[in-house]
Amino acid sequence: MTGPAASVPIPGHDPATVLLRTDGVTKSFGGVHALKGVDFELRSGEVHALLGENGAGKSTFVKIISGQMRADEGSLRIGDRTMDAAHQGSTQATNDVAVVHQELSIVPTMTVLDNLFLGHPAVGFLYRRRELRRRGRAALDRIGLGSLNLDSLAGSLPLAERQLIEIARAVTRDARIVILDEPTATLSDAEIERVFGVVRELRARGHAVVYISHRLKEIFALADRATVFRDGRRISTEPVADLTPDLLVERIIGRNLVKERSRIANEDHAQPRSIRLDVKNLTCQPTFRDVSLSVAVGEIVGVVGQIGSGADDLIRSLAGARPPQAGSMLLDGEQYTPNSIRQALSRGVSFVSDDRAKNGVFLDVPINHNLTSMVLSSVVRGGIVRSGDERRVGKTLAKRFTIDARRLRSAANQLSGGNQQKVSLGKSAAMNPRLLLLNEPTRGVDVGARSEIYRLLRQLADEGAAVLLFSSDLAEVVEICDRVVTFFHGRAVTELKGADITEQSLLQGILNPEEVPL
Amino acid sequence: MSALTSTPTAETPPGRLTAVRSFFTDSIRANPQGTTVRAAAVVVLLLGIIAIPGFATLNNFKGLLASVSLIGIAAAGMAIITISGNFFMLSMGATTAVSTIVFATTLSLGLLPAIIITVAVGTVVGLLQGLVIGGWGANPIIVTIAAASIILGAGELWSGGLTIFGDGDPSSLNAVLFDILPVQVLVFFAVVILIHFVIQKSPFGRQIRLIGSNRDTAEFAGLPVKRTVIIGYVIAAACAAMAGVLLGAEAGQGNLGLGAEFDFDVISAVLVGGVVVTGGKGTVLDAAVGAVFIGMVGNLLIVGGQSFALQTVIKGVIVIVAVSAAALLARRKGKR
Amino acid sequence: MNPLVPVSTDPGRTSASHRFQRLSVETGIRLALILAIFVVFAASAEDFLSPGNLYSILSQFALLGLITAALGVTMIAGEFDLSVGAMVSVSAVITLKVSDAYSPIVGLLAGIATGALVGVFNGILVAFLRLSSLVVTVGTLVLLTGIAYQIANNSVVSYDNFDVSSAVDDPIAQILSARSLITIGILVLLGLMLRFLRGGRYLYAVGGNRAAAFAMGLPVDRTIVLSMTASATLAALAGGLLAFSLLGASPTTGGSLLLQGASAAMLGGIALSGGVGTATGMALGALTLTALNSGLSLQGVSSALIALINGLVLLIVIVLNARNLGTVNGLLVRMSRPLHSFRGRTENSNGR
Repeated sequence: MTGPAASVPIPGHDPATVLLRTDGVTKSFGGVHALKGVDFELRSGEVHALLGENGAGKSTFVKIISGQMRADEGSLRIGDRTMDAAHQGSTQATNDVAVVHQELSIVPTMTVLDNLFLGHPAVGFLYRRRELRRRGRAALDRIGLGSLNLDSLAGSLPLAERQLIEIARAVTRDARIVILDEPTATLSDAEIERVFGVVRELRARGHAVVYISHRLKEIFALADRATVFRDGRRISTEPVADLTPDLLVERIIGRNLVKERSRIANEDHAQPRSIRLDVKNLTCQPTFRDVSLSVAVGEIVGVVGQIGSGADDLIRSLAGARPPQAGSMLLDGEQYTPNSIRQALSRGVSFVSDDRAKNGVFLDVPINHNLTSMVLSSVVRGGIVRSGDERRVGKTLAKRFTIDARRLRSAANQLSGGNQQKVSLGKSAAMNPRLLLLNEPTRGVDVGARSEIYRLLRQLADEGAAVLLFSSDLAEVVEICDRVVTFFHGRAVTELKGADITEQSLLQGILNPEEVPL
Repeated sequence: MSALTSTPTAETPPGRLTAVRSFFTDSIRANPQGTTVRAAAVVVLLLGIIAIPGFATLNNFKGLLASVSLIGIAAAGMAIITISGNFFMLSMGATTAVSTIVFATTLSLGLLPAIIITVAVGTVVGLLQGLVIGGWGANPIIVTIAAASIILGAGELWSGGLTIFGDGDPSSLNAVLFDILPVQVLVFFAVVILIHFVIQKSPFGRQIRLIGSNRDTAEFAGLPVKRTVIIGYVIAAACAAMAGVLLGAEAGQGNLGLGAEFDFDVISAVLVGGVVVTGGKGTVLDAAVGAVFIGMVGNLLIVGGQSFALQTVIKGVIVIVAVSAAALLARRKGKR
Repeated sequence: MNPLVPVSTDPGRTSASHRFQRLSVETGIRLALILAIFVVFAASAEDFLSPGNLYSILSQFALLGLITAALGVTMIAGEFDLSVGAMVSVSAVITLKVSDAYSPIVGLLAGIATGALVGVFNGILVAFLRLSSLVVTVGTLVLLTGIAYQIANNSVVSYDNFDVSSAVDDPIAQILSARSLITIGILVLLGLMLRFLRGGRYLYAVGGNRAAAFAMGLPVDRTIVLSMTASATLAALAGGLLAFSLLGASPTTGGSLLLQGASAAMLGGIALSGGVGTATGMALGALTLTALNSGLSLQGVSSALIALINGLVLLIVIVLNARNLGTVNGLLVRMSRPLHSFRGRTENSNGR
């Protein structure tokens, strides 16, 4: 019930076989602990939910037990085989574990049948279609896709069906342990029920299902036991029957419901401020529908939601990366219809993406050049990039965004993640945007750089920008946002202001928009 | 505050001479491979002078400089393509070859008009490729392979397979100043300096480099990616055309016999000089030095009695080594 | 809930016929194209359909078919082998040199072995150094050209063994020959392997969604190496047989084969982006191009213009390929583009 404990007793139950056991599993990435001494036990015939905030260690743990990664310390036992740290990494190949990932692993150019059996251990050197067809048909029937043509191209199917096919694929493996990672993000209620049916069937046959989800409703409907991860540790494992949603939320967040936050948010709501961004009934199928919100000058507004909620796609739509289909947007009272990122930029809307290595920073380019990349015209005179001007502008930007000005000539990949993120931010903010959009502003950023970035965002807002951000880090959202809109399944659900913004209220908004029947 | 503004590394004081010097030292510091190749080139030069008879003769040098110039001009152009992340342009040889014909055909209009028209034709050829690659998004290497075939086919049709003799006087292009410096080399220097300057100093050049470093980031940063890539192809093809002008003037005729060797030379020059095949790094100056190096090595081998084939084998090895080294380095930096 | 695109159910059709339907639409279009070419040229030149000309077409097909297969296999895996043309030259030269010294069988084996070696080399660089195959095979292309020149000593290698030449080229049933039968046989074999071997599924997966293939634990590296080995080996075989046919080999024997092979593959529905393609398509594509060239040549079109037209064909085909416009498969995938294009992008070399 309290904070991290050395060993939390695993409650005993009726004697079922232990299918998987970990002892003291520890994993670090670059000096940061992702998992610390995790003891875990999985029994046959159970649905075991894994919960925890982003960064709590769930995904890392799943990667280790599914064999995609090796632990630094600790042991993993599957059945009666012990796999020490050196021998992990093969649980999928040995068909002990089947995983349905968050990211779709469908090959769009191959048929449904092919996708169902790619990498299936029962497929021998010869690809016997007739037999596979039979099994494939049965698998699809169980998942409710009975009338889906096995020869359809997977790429021509809607997203939800592809998700179901992935689940069916894991089920056909007949592995003892099946891990489902956010499997219902894109599914309708009816489809979710079908998935439940399959899960229950697996349980009845003695398999163990690890079910990772943020959706409390599903967990209470389906799971037998629930394990909560926090800060890299297993905090608790309890029978779901002994839990309530509030208790679970408490476990996930930790005791300090009233912890002292250094709220940088602007508490002063007295003065009326002009609305910079006004969004009405914005729709972008199929990720979000009918979303309305506004951001005033000087405000930092956050949107939060789990995978499939549409919150992050809203940001991308506003940035011009994914034009919406319906609804209207006004920027300072004028129509705003960004069909491309360049168009958005021309209206003063700048976007900081969530993946700086992929599209946020020019890694092998000097920091200075990164910072000036979006404001080149300001350092160009007579058709030439003036290095003196560029150095000056670079230094100013570096100072403003607390980047070491002495390192301006080094390539960006020499910097730490936090400093790289500052470069990404500085680059996008150099043009003094009217509206600054951010997706996961501090992903992979250390604590020190985080607070600097929070301060910078506050500063930018105070200087006249409107800031709208998406973050899956609720503590961060609490710390810096003036207002928060929570999203669930493609719709904006609640709006919270000022002191109402707490991790608990946010989590409830995200997880539990309806009453959970007890 | 003062900590941020003080700079431990020596800041170059203002002044034109030092500005020029930093202009070159910047490029050297950015790419250690380039420096290595420069050093190696000097070593090879000395080796040749000392060890290989027949190398250090006036005639040989003139011939060497002439062939290096042609490759160097084309390499300067293709360097833009490589820096922008579009790998190689396999239509350079075809463009140069056909340009000799265009030049010979138009020579009757006068030397200057002939040059202008030839380069203009090259520009159009580059523009078309740029539109398909940069604008439409088709695969850069294969489009240039197709383009090479089309260009050569068109050239053969035009010339009817015959050699076209220029009806004019291109001799000023063949002149040798002070009995040592062929005009071609002057053109080479001019082209390299001009394009190097453009890439290092102009906004267009900056955008080329950023696009080559990370095309996605460039798009997200709102850079005019398509337009920039297209212009890059235009310039590259214009360079190939210019090389064709000089070749046509030297031979006094238009002839399609240039062959794929030219493309190999240009590619090896660019890669060995230190322009990284994945884009974003390296300078035009590097490519030029690479051309000199390749040219010298090749010349040494010939004068030393080795077969022409060995040159090609060495170039192939160079390409593979350069490309593998780039990949290994990128991996170590955790790029992939 | 979110209104989704209607589930694509087809209660009125069986699985087999659905797939057959889709494939036969594509194949039908290609057959129609070939038919059109044949009709046009047969109408304008009497001897287009003569046994002699058909023999000639099939003889060309014997060469191009193997090259198309070579390129096709790497393209399905999402890679591209630029060195096939040079491989043909090297193999031709080596085959003849070794045949002259020992015997034709040994010579051919020597040529094929060279191909296998080069292919493994290419494959290792691409798979383990994670290099773009386009880039690696440019290097191999240059290297092989040099080697060809070196071995051939800058001239043509000749081999005076008319027996072996007639063995490969003697007409069978008037229009076929040993070479064309070998090519047809290999294409059939390849088709069977692609369809009925598990390795075929791996090939399509590695090309269709490489990231997913990794995530699923498929043997990606092995598949890449095998595909590039197959490519070089097939090219080497083609070169050896061609050398026997011509009784001569030079460093330029490979000529425009790369260009034609790429066109033929893409005409045959093999996408540059990877993950699609069939042996039937490869065969039809190669046949289309050889028929076209034969017809043009019979019409008296100059070789220069033919080269130009071949370049144009490649250009058109690759422009179509860039936006997935060339295949029914591609169109279907395009129409329902998956969301979240920011995540899970395919990561093969060609990426377009």
